[in-house]
Amino acid sequence: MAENPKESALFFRFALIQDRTARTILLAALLILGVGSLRPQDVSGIYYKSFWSSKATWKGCCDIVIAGDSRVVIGLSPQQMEQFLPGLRILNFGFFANGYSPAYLQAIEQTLDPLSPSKTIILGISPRSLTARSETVNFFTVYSQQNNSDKFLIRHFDALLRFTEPLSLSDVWHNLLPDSNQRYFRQCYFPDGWIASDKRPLRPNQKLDNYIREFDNNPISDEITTRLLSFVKQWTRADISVYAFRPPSSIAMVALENKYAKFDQTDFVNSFQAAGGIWIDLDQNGYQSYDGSHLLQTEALKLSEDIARFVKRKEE
Amino acid sequence: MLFNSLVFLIFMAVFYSLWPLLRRRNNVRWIYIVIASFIFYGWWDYRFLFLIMFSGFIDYFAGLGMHHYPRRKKLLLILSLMGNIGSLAVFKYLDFGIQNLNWLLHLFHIQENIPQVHLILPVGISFYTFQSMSYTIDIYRGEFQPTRNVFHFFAYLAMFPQLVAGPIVRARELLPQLQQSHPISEQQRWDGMKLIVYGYFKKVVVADTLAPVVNAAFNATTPQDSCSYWWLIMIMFAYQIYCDFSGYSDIARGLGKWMGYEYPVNFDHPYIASSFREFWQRWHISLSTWFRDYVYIPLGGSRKGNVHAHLFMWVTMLISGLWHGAAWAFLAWAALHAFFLSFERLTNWPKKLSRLAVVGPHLTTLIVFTLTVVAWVFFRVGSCKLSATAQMAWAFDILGKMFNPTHFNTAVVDQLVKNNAINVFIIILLRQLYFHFRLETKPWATLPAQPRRFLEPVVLAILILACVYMRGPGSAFIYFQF
Repeated sequence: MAENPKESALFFRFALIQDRTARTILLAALLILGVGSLRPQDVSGIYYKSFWSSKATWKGCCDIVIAGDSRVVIGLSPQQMEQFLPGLRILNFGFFANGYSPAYLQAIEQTLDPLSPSKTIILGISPRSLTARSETVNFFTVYSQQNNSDKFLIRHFDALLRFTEPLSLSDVWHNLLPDSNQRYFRQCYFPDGWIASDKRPLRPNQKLDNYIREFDNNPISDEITTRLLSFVKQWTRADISVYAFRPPSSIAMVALENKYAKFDQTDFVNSFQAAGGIWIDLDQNGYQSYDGSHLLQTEALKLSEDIARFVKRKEE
Repeated sequence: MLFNSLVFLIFMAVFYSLWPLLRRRNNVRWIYIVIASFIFYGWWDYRFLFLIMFSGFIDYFAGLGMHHYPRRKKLLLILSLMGNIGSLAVFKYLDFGIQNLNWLLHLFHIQENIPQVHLILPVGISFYTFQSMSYTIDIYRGEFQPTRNVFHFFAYLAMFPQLVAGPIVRARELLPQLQQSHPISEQQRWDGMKLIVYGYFKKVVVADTLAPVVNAAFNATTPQDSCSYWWLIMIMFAYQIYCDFSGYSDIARGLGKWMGYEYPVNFDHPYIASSFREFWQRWHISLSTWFRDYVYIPLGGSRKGNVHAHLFMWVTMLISGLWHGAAWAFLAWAALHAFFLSFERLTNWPKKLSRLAVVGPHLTTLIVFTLTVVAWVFFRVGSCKLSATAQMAWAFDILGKMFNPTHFNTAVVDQLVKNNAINVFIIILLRQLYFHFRLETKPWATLPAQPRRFLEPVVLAILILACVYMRGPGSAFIYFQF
């Protein structure tokens, strides 16, 4: 190698051009930067891995905690609720595919600030969240058991991870030609635990078949229901207000769930109220769903407002 | 640490940045490799390190002992094998043994259940144990001298690129290489780069995209009742496992090249094999040759006549089945392959069929591939978290559906077509046909040196781009569990 600094620099540049490995890495880096910048920019909110990772570690930080599965995560905006319940810290502690496992029930309680004078738990009761399968395969289990190195990477390299998230060609295409943007599915992750979702075109029956399969050999579990009710009893005895509601989806879905999951809502509500909880009765057809299961973001804001008003009335 | 994780990419960047500085002196190089490899391996669970050290020290001292006390070398070999096979037996096969013992007890109307131990299976234990055993056996056979330097030995045993999923490298191949320290040439770097990028592409784009579709099919509570669906799923699984495992081997070989070391080729287009014998010469070559050299030939190989050769082959295949997993389904998979091999030896059908004009050779390859796909059914159910009886019931249920053309449900196939998996599936099938018809040897497929020098980096850069933005949602490598 040349000793003269000038020659060294020349040598380096020459080597870089000649070295196919270096050339490939450079070219790949440029391509990654170029394609990454074509990602649709309308995706606001935080990175989804940071969203789930931080949510799984919440402890002692709110007055009102909302718990449940994807219908809760997508259906309730704490920020919207805070407008009607001023001065209260509200968090949406729902997780996708979630069930009321012992670990999750304990985590719900631990999310509340022990010094809060108005500790409140709001439970979203979808039949799926009471099945045995939802206890084992869910986002809460995955993210609460995440190892420290993954947490570290998500915390400190979230910009890089977000930039290099897989990208569909249709996303790039729609970003380049926004006028053709008639079909899309957007999700925006908020730090308070809400995922605002919007999808076009609307397909109100999309999830029905999935749910029929989901409940095949997997009806609601009496054991999980009993456990949940015993926690409710325990919480109400500890002066925690406990509310519950069935997250609105669609009439077809409600009928399907009652039939295939063998969910008797009246029976559940009676047991829940006997355990000291307050049931929020909602019009299951009053909020529009984009897939028969989850609510559009505008509808989620409406639902958040309705629930917040209900809680406010009760607390007054 | 997974190859397809950000942590590994950071680890790799740090390791290879320091490598040119630390590779020059033997001891420094070996210590550097050992420390880096232990960090790599201990990242899963630091407790696993005690096991690899235990396994390693047994063979290191057994090797030295054989050299110093040649008259005791048989005893030392037995002790070393007992240590290695013992640790495998405890961590991998104990619960399987207990399950079968309980079943036997029930058969004799003894209702007592021996409780299972549920030990965590250390990642890659089957690979490094076999690598470690080959060291002692080769010394016993007098094929090479043991190393006196413990870091030299552990640099061989624990070297991170091939540690957890192969290729299984023999000590006589790698130990001498580890004693040398040549600067890495541009060609070596480029060859390594190609292997690494192809490996990542196979793993993160192909295998990880196919994985969710295959997993969904096997996680269903009742199998879909469609012949076409299950054929498609099983062919997808055939390519998933091939790309997953050969992808790992390619990355390992590429990383080795970047350090200046050569690992053996582990996969050589196995699905273009025109006989089962050829399939096993192309699939997981380092394991096949290990079993050939350390099990089949010592048993007697083909030296004791035809009947014995068949028997020894069956024994070897069944052990290989158990090596893959402690389940009856893996044994069934191995038995099916042993049957295919025996039938092939007896009838010589591939040779006879390939004599058919025009279609013969293609038909032979197609039949071998189809039967391989059928055998994969047992292999895949072996990984399902079900009881042994349920696994076998699943396998036969799926096979029943595959061979029942009256239930040809195109609606289910349509569902798969909508999934992105079908795109990579088509790409990989086209690639297979490209190699089957030997198109890579055609004059038009070979570019002159100058355009190739320009185009190859462009192609590789596009593949890297695909690995970043088109990667599938899968994660761990399938073969880690073995």
